[in-house]
Amino acid sequence: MDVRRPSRETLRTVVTFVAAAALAVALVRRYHALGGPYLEFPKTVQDHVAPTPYPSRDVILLAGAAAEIIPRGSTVTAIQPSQAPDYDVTHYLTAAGMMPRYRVVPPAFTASDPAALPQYVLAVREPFTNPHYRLFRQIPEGRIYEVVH
Amino acid sequence: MKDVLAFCAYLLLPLIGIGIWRLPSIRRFDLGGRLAAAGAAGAAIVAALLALLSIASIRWSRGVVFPVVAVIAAIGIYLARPLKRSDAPAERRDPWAIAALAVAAILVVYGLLTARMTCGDLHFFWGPKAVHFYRDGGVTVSFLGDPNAARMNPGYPLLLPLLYAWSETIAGQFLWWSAVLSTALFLFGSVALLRSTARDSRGAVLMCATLAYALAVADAAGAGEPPLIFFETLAIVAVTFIREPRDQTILAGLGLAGAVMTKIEGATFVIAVVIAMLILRRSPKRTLFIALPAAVLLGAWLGFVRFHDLSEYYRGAAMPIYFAALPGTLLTLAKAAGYELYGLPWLAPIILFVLGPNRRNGILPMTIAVLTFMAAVFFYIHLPDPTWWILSSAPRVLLTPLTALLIASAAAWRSNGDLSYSPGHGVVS
Repeated sequence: MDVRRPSRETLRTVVTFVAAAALAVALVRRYHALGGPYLEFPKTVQDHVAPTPYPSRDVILLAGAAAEIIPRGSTVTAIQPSQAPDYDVTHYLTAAGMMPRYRVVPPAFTASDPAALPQYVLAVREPFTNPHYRLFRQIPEGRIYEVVH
Repeated sequence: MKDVLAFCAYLLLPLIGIGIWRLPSIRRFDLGGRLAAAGAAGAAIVAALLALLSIASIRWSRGVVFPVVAVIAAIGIYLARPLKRSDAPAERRDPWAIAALAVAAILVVYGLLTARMTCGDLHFFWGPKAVHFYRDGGVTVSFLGDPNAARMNPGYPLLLPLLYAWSETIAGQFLWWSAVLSTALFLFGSVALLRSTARDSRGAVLMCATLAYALAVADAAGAGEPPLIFFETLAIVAVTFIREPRDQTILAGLGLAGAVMTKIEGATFVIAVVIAMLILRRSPKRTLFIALPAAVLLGAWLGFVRFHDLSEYYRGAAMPIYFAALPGTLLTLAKAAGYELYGLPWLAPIILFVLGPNRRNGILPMTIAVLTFMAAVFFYIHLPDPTWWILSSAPRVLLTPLTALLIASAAAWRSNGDLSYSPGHGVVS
């Protein structure tokens, strides 16, 4: 019986292509696990990085919408009220990239003088309750508040 | 339309860096490798130009940037003449490898275009920095030193935001999708560099499939890792596969300089390459020349950062070390290194390295892989409990040792170290 041992090159070929196939299948499974729609161009570059979109994805849309309606040069911040101060950095930095014509600042609402407060607050997903602010606009991804003087 | 223009900015980089085709080693690359090497040079040139304009307080504008870039490209074309096909002997086509590369490429592009690989850091600081630089007409200390921008890592090196700003200059605004898609170019460029220098399509297949998957699991698109991996690949393949001293020095020097100006981790990578070369090649003079551009650039950048008192993390290595955190760090790191696939991204190249008939050829990149992996552990034990830090960053941080390992596994299958010069080489079949 002629039993030939596979050459090293054959072994290499098998290992390479089996591994590449396994990695491709795993990649497809990962894409599937991240949820659909699968053949639709997303609204933002963060739409499908997790099965449930991150709030920062909504900040992208909220900040984009805010940049269309609030006066340029205003001071703006962004938060998710129920999570604050966690993720504050995530949210206001995301807004900073979407609103280059504004002065985006970290959320700080302790000043008693309204003039020292951010003029606008982008509250993602949830209402923002603060006596110094009133609702300015609401869109599906969140609300825009303006400071009350 | 603007998205297309913004993406075309990255496609123009090889034209800007085409002068590097003058190097004899690059003339032996196939077209993909030549484009990738020129792209690396182009990226470095564009970043340097924008940085120099900022130093000279000349505001970025198309009217300033385009003529300079056009002159550089024209000089490059002149230097690269004749722009003929590769000097390398014709290779046997490997349809299975081409098919596998095409599948991996399609999967990557799909993942990018459906927003399944995007890194949060793109929106947190890489993108915002580029947006503000462009709006300010240059890199300004007033922005980097602004307390409101302190969380945007103002002390991070600038190459990637400058490349994004270049794209903005072409398109007239920052396009987030083009930044995400640039990841594909950096990945394909890395694969092309390995394929060209190692003359090895099988190694390229494994690298493309592995990094495509790992980049997706790491959610690294648009962040610093794709260009970091690209420059690191250039440096590693240069010191591994290219023997002509001048060419090796130039290409490895370019790779190290690009890496060190892309991310803080690039500095660690440079140290790892230097140590590996000093141990294995025992050529201090060559090692010095290779590392010199990176050292000068890093020194200048750190001097700038310190002079302007910008926040930075380079001094993290001087923080206290928590040896008690080592077991937990290793366990958590092992979990993260599994890439949700039982460590297959590591296992396949390790198996191929062990099976390789010429493992000596892969010792240098393997040493770089081990050193950069150890460097990751070293940095993680600077926190008493780094669990969260590891889980959130290790899949990206470990891309560097993973890339070096993939190159080592390809090198172990080459019959000699100087593949760019070996006559009669062909694709392994």
